[in-house]
Amino acid sequence: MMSKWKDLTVGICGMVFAAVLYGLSVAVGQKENQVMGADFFPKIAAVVLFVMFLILAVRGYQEMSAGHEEKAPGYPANYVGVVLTFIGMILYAMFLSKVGFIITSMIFLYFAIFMMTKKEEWKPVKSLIITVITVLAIYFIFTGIFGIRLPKGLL
Amino acid sequence: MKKSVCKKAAAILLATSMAAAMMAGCSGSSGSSESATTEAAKAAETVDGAGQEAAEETIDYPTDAIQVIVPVSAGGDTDANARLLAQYMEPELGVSMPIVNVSGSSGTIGMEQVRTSEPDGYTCLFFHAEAMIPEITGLIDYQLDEFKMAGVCLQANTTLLVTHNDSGFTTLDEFLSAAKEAPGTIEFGMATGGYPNLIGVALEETAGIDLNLVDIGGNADKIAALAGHNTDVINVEYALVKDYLETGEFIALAVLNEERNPLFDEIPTAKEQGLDMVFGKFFFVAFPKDTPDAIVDQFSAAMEKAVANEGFIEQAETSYALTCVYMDPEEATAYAQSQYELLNTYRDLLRAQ
Amino acid sequence: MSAEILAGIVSVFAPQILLLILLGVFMGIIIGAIPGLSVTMGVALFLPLTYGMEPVAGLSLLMGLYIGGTSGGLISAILLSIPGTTASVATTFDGHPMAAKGEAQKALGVGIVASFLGGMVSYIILMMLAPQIAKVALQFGPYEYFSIALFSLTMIAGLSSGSLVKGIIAGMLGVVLSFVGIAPITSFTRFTFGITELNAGFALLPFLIGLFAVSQVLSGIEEKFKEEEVIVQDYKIKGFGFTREDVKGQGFNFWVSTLIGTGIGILPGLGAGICNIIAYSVCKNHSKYPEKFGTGIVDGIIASESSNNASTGGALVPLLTLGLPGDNTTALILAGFMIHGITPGPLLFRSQTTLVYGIFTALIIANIMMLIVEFGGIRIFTKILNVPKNLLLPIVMIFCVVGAYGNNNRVFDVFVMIAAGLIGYGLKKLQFPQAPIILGFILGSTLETNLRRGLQKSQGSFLPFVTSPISLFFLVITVVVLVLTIRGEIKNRKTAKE
Repeated sequence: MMSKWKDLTVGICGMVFAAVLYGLSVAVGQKENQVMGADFFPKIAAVVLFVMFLILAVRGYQEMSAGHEEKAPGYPANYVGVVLTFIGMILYAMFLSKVGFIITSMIFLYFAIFMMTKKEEWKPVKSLIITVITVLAIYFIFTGIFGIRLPKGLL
Repeated sequence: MKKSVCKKAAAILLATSMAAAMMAGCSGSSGSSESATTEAAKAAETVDGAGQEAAEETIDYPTDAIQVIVPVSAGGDTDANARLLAQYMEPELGVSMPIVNVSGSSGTIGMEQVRTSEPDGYTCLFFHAEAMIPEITGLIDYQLDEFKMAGVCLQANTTLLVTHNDSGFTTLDEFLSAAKEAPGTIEFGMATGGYPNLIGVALEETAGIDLNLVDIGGNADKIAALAGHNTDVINVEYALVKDYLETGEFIALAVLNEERNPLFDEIPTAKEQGLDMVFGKFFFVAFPKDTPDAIVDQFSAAMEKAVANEGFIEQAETSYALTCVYMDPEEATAYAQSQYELLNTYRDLLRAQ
Repeated sequence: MSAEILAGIVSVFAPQILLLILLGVFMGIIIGAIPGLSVTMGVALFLPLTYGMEPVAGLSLLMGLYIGGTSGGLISAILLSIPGTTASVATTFDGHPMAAKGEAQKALGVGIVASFLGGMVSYIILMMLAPQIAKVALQFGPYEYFSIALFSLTMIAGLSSGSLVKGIIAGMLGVVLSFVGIAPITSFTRFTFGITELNAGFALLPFLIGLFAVSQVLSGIEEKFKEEEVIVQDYKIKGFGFTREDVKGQGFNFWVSTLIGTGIGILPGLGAGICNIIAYSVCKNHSKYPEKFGTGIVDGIIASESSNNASTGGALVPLLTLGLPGDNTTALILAGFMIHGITPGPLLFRSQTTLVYGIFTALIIANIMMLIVEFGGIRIFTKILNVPKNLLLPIVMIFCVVGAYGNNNRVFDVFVMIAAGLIGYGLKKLQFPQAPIILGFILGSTLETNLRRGLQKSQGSFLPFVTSPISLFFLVITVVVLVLTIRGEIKNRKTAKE
């Protein structure tokens, strides 16, 4: 059912977004002696976006009325996993500097592998070994050979 | 089945984030264990009271690598000079000094990073006079006095006013006359809100002329525009247009120094031609404001030795025709202040652009 | 004169220099292949090493890195659908579908040879015509740049694969994202909401990795329970993995893409990042079977890979003849010169003939080495596909974090990458194409800056935009392409309804 509303919803949300963008552009303002201020391009972009989203919304409405059904994917979409992983990524970035690259990367990598592995195939010890070796290898190759700096954090 | 997996995942996530938070909390905001040593040193210094010469303190610095933050991208003279200085300072201090480029927003991103970092002497800023511009133009609201100067190490007395060979004027006088005859038509290529903008504005003000200040971009863009005769006059460092001057494609109208630069003394100064414009670029190193004086002085002493090194001098002159000059923290701070006052006179004019 | 040319050529054949070139090429390929690390970063990392070397040695190393890095991106583009560098974005369009069909080796082989040949052509052009071309390049001012950028933007049509409206939206979103930061010319901040870190805008590389790689990780997690058909890779292919038959009729494709790459490379400010997308789009529009693009045909790979390597030769034209870097990578190479007291410029060919011809020789040798190294690695690279997806994607994520952080040494870019990942994932779910965002993002600032600069220069008049012949040319073809595209779209919709 959601699929039928997709384009229409996107279209409407998009138009709101474009309107907000236009408003923000006006707030940018223009300095007097500029022929074309810093607000000009954003305004044009906002207008173009608005028009496009409008077309999208209209077409979405037409699709909806025409009653097209989207094929069911055939597997349960793991949206919970996506949300959890996304939160995991944010935490990873938040603690990267304070706790250091090695520790946060190991935690995240182990977590991500866990999230991606099917329950019956999950091997906790093997994954842990892979995690530790991979992160250490990456750290030493990049800081040693390539000379990139990575946060040392707690170490 | 799915629910239990999710529960497990959520539990792991919660546990790990709590663990990480605890670890982060325990260690405090500084990752360096060496900060304990400098904390002790700082405490000792304040206990001993004012009046104690910092040179008499034997402090345990440095014991770890000192990060040199360069607020512009790699490649380019600032970055190259930072690496040069680090190369010669490392043996003096006995630790490595990795260059860390944090570029963007006219250098303010890197400046901000140093300003808010731990004042333990292990993070410093390497930049030049243009660090003072963002506050003048209103991009940020703090000046160099938010930092503690460790010293000046190089001076670029190589800012030229250059035109191309088809512009109709070959000397500074001819240029000024042409500008007076046709106000607002001669184009000065610059980068809005940057040092070249200030020079353009200063040029108009000091000479009493009216130019068409046009935004062209960075050095590469300005040189390209001049070479393609798409602009009339630009300011640029000597080293970047050596060849063009030699072939005659570009003509140097003046160098904006007090005296002629011995490395290219055929170019007259603006001053000797009647136009009092002196715009050199000094390169400095600075620490966060609360860094202990003892540390800053120690760093500065090492800087002095590096600047006096023959190898350093030779490379600086070969690469970008720079003059090696050392100023200690006090001199540097005073010099920066005087330079700021000079640049600040154009504050309103610049902001009106 | 010729004695110096000969001396220059011979100088490169010293064993330590050949080794340096090999090192550069090898490292460059690895850096290019790893998503998150860019050619620019690679050159920046090795630049300090060159300070103590002889000029010809140091610059040869940098050339190796430049060539290897630009080409290396095709490896992850084909195998992982993640462009290793901005130069290989378009390679993912057809490269990955081919790998998914079991033709990974063929895709790699075609890409490698296209890179080699495209680069070679551009180096020959560089050697024969550099000074003359440079003069023409100088004629490009803000009017011309604006028109070219506008034309490039219409290439979005070729990337929209289905819905032009969605493609335009995606492109515009990219443009809007490029607005964040300091406004060009007027130099005060826009859309930063007081976050000082945003003053510099969104960095391209973290954004790119996020859009392509992080979104893939998220998709992978969503599809966790999907039954994957195991694709058996055809390992028995000989040589480069493709036959004469496979590339019959690709001549036009190749030459057009190479010329586009070289041309765009020559113009300072535009580089490998967009030329691969533009070449792809142009080839698709001219093809007899445009609907096949994106399903896994060699045409797409050839277009993308020959143009991006061709842009390296092009970018060296302004660098060597005028001392003007075309992009961040060539700016670093410029530094490689300056540090030895050599300022590239109009006199370089005359005053440093030996060095210049040494560099040319190094380019050709590096190109050949790249071919050999990548060829040797084809089978090894393909084995990457055997790593189970549940390990591969998380590990790729770690590499991406390294790349995003290493881009400018701050954690903020990691957040940008994650946000871009969310955007990319969202776009995929809503069936929006992703490539136009990148194009819009890259071109957005070029468009705005040059339009405003042009107007500032002409003091408000739009006339110079059409009186300049070059500018007019590009404006005209922009209009033509627009009209054709819209007509084609309307026709498609009609037939779809019937």
